[in-house]
Amino acid sequence: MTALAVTNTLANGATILASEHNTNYSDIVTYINNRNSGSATWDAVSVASATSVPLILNNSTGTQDIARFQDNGTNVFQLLDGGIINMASQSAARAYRNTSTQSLSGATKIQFNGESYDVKGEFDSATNYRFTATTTGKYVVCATINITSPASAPVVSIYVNGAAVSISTAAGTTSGISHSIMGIHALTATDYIEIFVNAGASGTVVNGEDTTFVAIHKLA
Amino acid sequence: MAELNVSNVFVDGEVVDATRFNTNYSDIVTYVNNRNSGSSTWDAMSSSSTSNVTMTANNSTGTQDIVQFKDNGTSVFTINDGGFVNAPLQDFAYSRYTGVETFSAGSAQKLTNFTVRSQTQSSMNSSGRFTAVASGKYLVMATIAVAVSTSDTIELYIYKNGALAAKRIRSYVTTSPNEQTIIISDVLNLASTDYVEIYMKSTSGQFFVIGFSSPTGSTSSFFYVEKLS
Repeated sequence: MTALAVTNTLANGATILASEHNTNYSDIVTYINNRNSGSATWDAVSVASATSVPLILNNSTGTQDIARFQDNGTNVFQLLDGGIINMASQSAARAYRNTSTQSLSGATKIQFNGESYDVKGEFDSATNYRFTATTTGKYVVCATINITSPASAPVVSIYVNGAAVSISTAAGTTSGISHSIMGIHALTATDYIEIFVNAGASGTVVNGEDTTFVAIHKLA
Repeated sequence: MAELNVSNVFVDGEVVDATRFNTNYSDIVTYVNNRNSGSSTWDAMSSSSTSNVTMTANNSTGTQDIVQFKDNGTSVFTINDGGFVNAPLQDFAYSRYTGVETFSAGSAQKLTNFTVRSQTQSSMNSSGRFTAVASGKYLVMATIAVAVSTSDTIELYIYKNGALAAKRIRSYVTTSPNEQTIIISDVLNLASTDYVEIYMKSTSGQFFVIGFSSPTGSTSSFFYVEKLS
């Protein structure tokens, strides 16, 4: 921690040179001006007020970023000139059924074994085929499943921790069509999301990154 | 840039009035207190720590905003008292479908008759293309109402940079009424200047998209994009 300190401590009875005073003032001025310009950093900043907005950042007429919050030097929240927000490390994953079809029998968990992206490594595309939230919050879930030869009208469901929370029912048993579902769900850290389909006794899920997929993104 | 300066510099050997010391202290106190009250601004601020939360803002018992981030004086990010987060200029666009387009059987065709109804960053053009201003994850949704005159399989696509990114396949049997809706949604990774568009394909080519209906104002077909992160 780089605390402010002045060079000279003045003793009673000592002959004090003007330069000693100047040096002390210079220590203070330099310390503050370096932090005012951003060439040096404060260790921590805490602001609190019952009457004023405690923190206002304004990039004036400039085109530089308005704010950057970093994790060990990497931007995790960036407010660009113009008001666009980047949160490059926000929880998000998209997985899909890769390389081969999947057979259905009764209520079947869709095995998404490919990933388009997985920012926090929360999607298990190898064993449990589920998204497990690292942090508590609200998450949007979008899934589209392409099914051939369903024995009955497919029902696509979003499951949280092993129980259905959203259900979408198809109108009929036409083969080769897509079924979609979308929802926003409150998750606590370690809660998990899976996608299930029940097409009756049989059916086949068609693979493809653009064909059978689920996308999950933390909203808040 | 409003730097701190003290009024007096002292010369060795001179007799210095105490008031000159006091003035210098006053300069420092005033500078810091003005910034503490918010009546003056720091030019820039950077904080870094391996052990403390680097920045905390708390509106205590007050009801004013907790933080305001501004672009040349216009708030672009605020946290209200109570914790509501506002980001009014985050990239977002909403277009609705108007007019009529004809479709050829068996080939994917872009929907172009979209009219922009609302957007924050001029990302959506007048022919149904959304171009990302900044890299990130974008929620893309399209709801398209179709009227079919014969049994048909209709596919709704999200295209990214001219190539298929996501598809929804529906089949329709002519009924009365014969208007049905097909929906697609996905969260796509877009780099700056990447673009998304909506395409459709049908087996028969004998359908049309139901768009904005005047004078009743019903809106059956629309295309949304919002940057999530």
